[in-house]
Amino acid sequence: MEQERADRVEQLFAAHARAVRAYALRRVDPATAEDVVSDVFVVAFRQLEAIPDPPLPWLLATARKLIANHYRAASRRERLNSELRPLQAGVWSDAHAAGHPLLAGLARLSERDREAILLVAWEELEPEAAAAVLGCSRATFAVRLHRARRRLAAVMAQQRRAESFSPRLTEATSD
Amino acid sequence: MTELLQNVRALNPVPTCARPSIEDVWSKLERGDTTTVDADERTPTRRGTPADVVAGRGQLDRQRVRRPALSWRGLGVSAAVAVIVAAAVLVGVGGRAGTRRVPSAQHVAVSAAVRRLADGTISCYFASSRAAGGPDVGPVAVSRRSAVVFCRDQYRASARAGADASQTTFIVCQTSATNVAVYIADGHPNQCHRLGDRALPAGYAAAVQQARSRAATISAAARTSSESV
Repeated sequence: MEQERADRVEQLFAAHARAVRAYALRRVDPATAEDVVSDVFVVAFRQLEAIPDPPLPWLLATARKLIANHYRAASRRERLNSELRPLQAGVWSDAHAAGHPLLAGLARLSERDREAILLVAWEELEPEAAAAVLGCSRATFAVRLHRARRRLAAVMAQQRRAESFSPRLTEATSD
Repeated sequence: MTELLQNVRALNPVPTCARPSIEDVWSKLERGDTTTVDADERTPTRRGTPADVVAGRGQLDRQRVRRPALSWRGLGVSAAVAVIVAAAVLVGVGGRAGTRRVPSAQHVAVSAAVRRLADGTISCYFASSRAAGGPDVGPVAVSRRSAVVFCRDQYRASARAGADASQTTFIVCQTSATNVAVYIADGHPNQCHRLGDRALPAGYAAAVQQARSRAATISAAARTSSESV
């Protein structure tokens, strides 16, 4: 029985570990990402019966929760240290976010909006699978994605306006 | 897919990556790792994610978000901490514990069980499963060395160990409340479970370390007293 479970987890790992790892690497630092991947499959081993078919959305949803746990623990540690250090997490480092206006725009969205966009754009999930990761219906996800896209477009427009305004302001002050 | 989403897709920082190793999964399972997935999706939003920080909604915004909650929650937590500290001081002063920390019942139960196991005996099997005639060495009480180091030395010293003992991988399982067994690892997952044993409990290594330093202290004290005599 245990051997069967181990075999099944090995199959899951062979098929989906790469996707889970990429998902984690896009959200946290590499060391945490490795930890998240192994934790996802530890949970999968324990809850094998709960894993639906296809399993990838379930695995990504588990990874998402583990990453949220990681941030929560990091925040607790921060509070204990009485310091509010910015977390340096994977792709959302200063350099990266500042390097491209679209990434900076994404960084300004709420986690919920950003996740809806990234599940489609980066994880390349179909709306149904993305909805399963977020634990909502396909229709709800469609609405979330629509709103998230609208907000991102608004943020981008706001950034563009700010950029076009700044040089003029500089010119005016230099005069 | 809209142009905006396509632009986001083009910025994917990890378009592809290598497959990780599954060994971490098996070792976590062997260790009895207690991974939980109890987070809810409100958590990162409420607290502010690293991306929020990066995006310039830095410390002040995060403090502003948290402040209303802190005013009530902080009060409650402070009161609870004060009660707990007062209770701990009273127990410490009133009891015979003096300045000793008062551990919870669960902590005592777990650490006592693990300590008993660390103070217990070791059986060495020079195979990947239990031999019919019992262990090749033991069970013996070895308080000053780790089970693997002890059994590796026994394996090296044994007549059958023509192979290089340093190249052999061993695995430690818990067979009873006071005994651990060392086997040659067969390279497959869950060896302890397949043999009908349990994986080592969390804190075992620390308990062995403590037992070792206790034994060292006792022998140092014995040496000192014999020298003074």
